[in-house]
Amino acid sequence: MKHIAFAILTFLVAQTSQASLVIVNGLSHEHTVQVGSKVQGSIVIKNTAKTVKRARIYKSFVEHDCNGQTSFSLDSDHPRSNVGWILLSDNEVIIPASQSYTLTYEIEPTNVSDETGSYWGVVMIEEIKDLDTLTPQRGVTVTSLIRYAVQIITNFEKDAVKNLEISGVNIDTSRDTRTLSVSVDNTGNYMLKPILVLELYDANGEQVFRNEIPYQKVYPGLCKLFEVPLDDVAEGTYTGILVADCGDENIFGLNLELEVPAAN
Amino acid sequence: MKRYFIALALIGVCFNLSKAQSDNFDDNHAVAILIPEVAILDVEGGNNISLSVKPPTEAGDAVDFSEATDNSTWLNYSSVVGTSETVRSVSARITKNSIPGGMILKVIASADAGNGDGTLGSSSGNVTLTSTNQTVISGIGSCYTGDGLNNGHNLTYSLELDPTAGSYASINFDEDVNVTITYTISNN
Repeated sequence: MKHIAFAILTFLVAQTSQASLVIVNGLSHEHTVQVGSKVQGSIVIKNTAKTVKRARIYKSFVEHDCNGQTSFSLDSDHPRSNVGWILLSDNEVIIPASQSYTLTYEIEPTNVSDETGSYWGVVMIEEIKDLDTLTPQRGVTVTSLIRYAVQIITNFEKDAVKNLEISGVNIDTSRDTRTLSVSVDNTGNYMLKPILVLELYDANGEQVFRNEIPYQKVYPGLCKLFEVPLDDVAEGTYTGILVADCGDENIFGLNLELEVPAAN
Repeated sequence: MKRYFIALALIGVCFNLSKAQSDNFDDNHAVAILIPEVAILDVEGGNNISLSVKPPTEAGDAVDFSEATDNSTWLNYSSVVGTSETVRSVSARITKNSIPGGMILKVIASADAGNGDGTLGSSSGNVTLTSTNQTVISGIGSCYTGDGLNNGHNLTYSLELDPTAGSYASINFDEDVNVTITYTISNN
């Protein structure tokens, strides 16, 4: 009987949720700034667990690359980092069960050599786990942690240069599905959020395919990978247009000829 | 006394009826619908996963990595995105300690188990974990995976011999280590 009770207890413990911090007001916050004035913002963290939770809060920087990877760094000296401008209200918080905590931050642009375009940084919210008091195990043990990266974007509205360049187009057949990988570079000074649109036409000029890939942020000086699934496209050669549409009159595109291989 | 109560009640009913009948104005009120731009990420299942290499059973054999795998954890998430922030991804990196010499640690997120709804993320396939962030799941929109084990993406960890030539010489029997993997959810 004891064994059964232990087994049930073990099962219940295994079923218990580990992470329970929730960000309820978004993972990107955008502000318009000016040198000499401060702006404030807030990040609302909710503890949905039945026990108290602790979180560590710290600043970081994020960069994206043309391979679709995202890297965070604590000590970036990137010229468009606003990490040094952000003052956090706390760096560690204790949130009672079922309660919310509002983390406030203040942004004051200082030591700005270029008062144009977008600057950005990240506020990390990382759950702190209690010390593991289990008997040390042999071999490699793996523990998981969860964190939320909240991007803080600050824009100087004057002299915004909004410019994108589609710098690479490749058909990726290495996965189960055929995918058009498109690298988009932001060659301006302002963060842009393009929708990527691909239209393909057959030899008769008939449109055979159209797909829109949702917004992704492309920070100035960085590159972002957009992936367009080609599942519905038959093998063949097509002409097409590829457009990065940022809204307003900011539309960037190119004509292309695409040879789509047979499905895997 | 009782009659007065009844009479007063009837007058009240009549008054209310006449008021209702004479009221021909339309009325309206605002209903605020608030949808939070929420992000919840959770690892469910084994809290401390143990991956052990088996010793060889015959002289001349190598140590055995075939059982140094674990698939007891599941990555759950709930996400509501907006019109200007439409895609999220989850990346992973080693944030505490490092893999013992001569070995690598891989993780692969399975396809979503199919118990949720919405624009669920897709797996990046096998990822060799390092101290650099690498995307594990991408393309997360507004969706939920379901909560708990057998929901979301099953995470399979595998400890393997580093394929780099000569790495076997780096294996050390007393290198027990607790590695922390940090999963980060962010907007793209």
